[in-house]
Amino acid sequence: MIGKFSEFFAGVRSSLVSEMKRVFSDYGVLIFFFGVQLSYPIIYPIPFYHQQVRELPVAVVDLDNTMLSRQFVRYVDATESVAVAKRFLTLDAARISFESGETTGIVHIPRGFERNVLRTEKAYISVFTDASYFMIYRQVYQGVMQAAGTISAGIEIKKLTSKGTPLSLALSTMDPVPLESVPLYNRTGAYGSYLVPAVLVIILQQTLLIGIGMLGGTARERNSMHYLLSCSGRECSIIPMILGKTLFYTLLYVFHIVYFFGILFKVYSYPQNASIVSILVFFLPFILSVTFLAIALSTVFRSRESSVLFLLATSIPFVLLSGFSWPAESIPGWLRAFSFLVPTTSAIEGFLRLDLMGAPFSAVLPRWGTLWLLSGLYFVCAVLSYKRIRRIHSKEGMFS
Amino acid sequence: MSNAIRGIIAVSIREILRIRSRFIYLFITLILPITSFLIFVAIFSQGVLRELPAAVVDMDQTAMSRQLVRMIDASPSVHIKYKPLTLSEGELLMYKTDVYTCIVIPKNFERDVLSLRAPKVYNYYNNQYLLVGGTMYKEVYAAVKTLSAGISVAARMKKGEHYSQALTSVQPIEVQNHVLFNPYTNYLYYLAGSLLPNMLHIFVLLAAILAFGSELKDRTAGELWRMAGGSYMVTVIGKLLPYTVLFTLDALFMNTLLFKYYELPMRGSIDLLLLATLMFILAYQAMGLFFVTVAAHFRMALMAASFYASTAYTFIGMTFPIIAFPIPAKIWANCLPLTHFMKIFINESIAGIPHSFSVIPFLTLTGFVVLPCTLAFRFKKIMSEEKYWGKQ
Repeated sequence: MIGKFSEFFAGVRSSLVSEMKRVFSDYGVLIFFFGVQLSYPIIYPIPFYHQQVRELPVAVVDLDNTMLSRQFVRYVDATESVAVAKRFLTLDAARISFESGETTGIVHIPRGFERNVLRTEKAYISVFTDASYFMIYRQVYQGVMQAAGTISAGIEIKKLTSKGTPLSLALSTMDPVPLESVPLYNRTGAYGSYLVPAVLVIILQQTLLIGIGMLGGTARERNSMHYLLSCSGRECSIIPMILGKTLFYTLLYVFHIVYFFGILFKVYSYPQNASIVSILVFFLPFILSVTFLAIALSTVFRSRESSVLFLLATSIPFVLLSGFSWPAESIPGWLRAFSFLVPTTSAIEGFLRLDLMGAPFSAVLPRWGTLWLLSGLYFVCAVLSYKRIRRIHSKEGMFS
Repeated sequence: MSNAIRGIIAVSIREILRIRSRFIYLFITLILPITSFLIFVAIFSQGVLRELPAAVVDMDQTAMSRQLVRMIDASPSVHIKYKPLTLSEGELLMYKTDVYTCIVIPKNFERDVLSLRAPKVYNYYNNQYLLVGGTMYKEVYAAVKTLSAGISVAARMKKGEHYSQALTSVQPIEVQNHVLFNPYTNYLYYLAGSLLPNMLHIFVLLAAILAFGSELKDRTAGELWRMAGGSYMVTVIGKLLPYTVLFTLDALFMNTLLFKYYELPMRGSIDLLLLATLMFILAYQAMGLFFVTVAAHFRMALMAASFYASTAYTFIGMTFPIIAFPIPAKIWANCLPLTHFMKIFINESIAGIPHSFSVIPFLTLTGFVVLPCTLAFRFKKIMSEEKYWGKQ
């Protein structure tokens, strides 16, 4: 019995060592196990280094030119989201600036604006926006709305208090049902902490799939399949071999997880609401399931470059299926069910809840459970795929 | 001249035979692109965000609070799925993303509203899910504001104001929003319009690298070069022609999806757009050739292209706008043909602004297409000298 155990562990250890040697001696593969993890997380957040879109340039056409209209324009300029960049005398002139991209919106104040307000008649402001770039559209529109709301409130309060109404009553007359909107988890609406965490999880999965696939394809191409059939030259059975490799990749990716979510998150000031320990615990079945899946897939690739060519383009569909942007509730049920076969679907959702939102671990138990199920499923796939390879090669007498 | 044409045909036929010989070629030029487009269509088949789950903690349970709940529930994107009794229950639902927003109506709501004590209603919304949070927040805000405005008007009328006067007092300044481009403010229009070309460009680039890189690795470069009579143009055009045809088919499928299925507005010139699509395909084929020429190494060119293609989406400015990028990012954005293609695409489809604004991006795309020609001398070398072949 003890003999069987020590044989088992010897197999695991020699498999781990041989996998480590194989990875570290292959520069191409090292790019996927180190190069990508060191470079992509630095490149990706660069475009939204400023995290928010601020001071978008807008054009102003003030045909009223009164104290109130000028005050309105000042308020628009004062909002964080937009800045008054240009003033025009006609709407047509402003339009040219808008279409050329020089400005991202037009604020048009018609003649008679102040007069209408003073006469308690409805006063209109027009804002021209471009909704083909969604963030720009939303910011410009909201910025102008904010200015209009502030001035409207000011006008009304003045009217009511000048009639003798106390300020608090004036406020509650204007807005009897005030709404306090509290953005949770990403208070400032920062774009980086919305996008990058999901991207990092995808990177973990895709690099494992492509990297291990590259090793498999290379072995197939060079007819050195013996690496799949023995551990450092000794005979060993399939399960210790798979476990040894998995142990190596798990250790490697523990390092990456700590780097991504412990160190980089701190550098980028992303929310870190979970301890690194609970993050590691959560990601354990994720790394296991992806590694087993990668091992199973690696037996299919026929050349060194195959895994890149086949898998690179799957990143975008996988990230869309995770529901971090377009929500899961809006994805058709059948597709959503299939998407759970992809480890990142559960991993991204669970990680966002755990770390970005600060949920308790109990809230992510279902996702964690799914990842364990996938680990079991893909472990079986890996074992079966190795069995298949052995069968093929023992027929050809290549067992060395 | 006719020698060149004969050469091109010979090289193309040879390429078609190569495409048929290995599964990866067909996979990356037809199977994967079409499948990816269809998966995209499936994911976004709902079209708009509708009936997303929300929770309401109604601590008042009066006619007015129930009216407010009904008004919120009537919003298209909000579906009140849970009515927890406590705030902590609501918080747990938020943590499990069973709901994306939790609205809290305080005790004595109705009483305080009617006596003008302005009791606060709270809307806690999940802002990690930016798109969902933003959409639901807007609609909850609108529902509450409607109720508030209605009560304010009623209160003023009681004080003797006329109805229209009261309405104006509630909102003295009204902002009229004229959405010039993408007038339906359809998030899906611009998401589809950016993601589908983004997916396509990856395939085009990888296929071009596969085409040239495999010749180097398999040591068949010399044979190809001889067949092409040592002509740069014959080699390049002949080799890429079958892929251009295949990817044009993919692009036609993509544009059909966008303009017929999604009914993206086509407010400019469809001809210009289709021509730009072709230039876009040629530009990325050229970049693939460029990478292989510089690296003279299949795998290394593939690595460079992987980086170039998989980081592209954030740099094209369709989500976070280019105008807000730091300068190095703006520069890199301009190094991607996709950025320039997207400008033309948006201009001609959703925006419909004068064609003159598409000229410069079009010329830039052309620049990318001719870029590899600057390295023609190096290409000749790697095609004919054995020391560049067989690298892993």
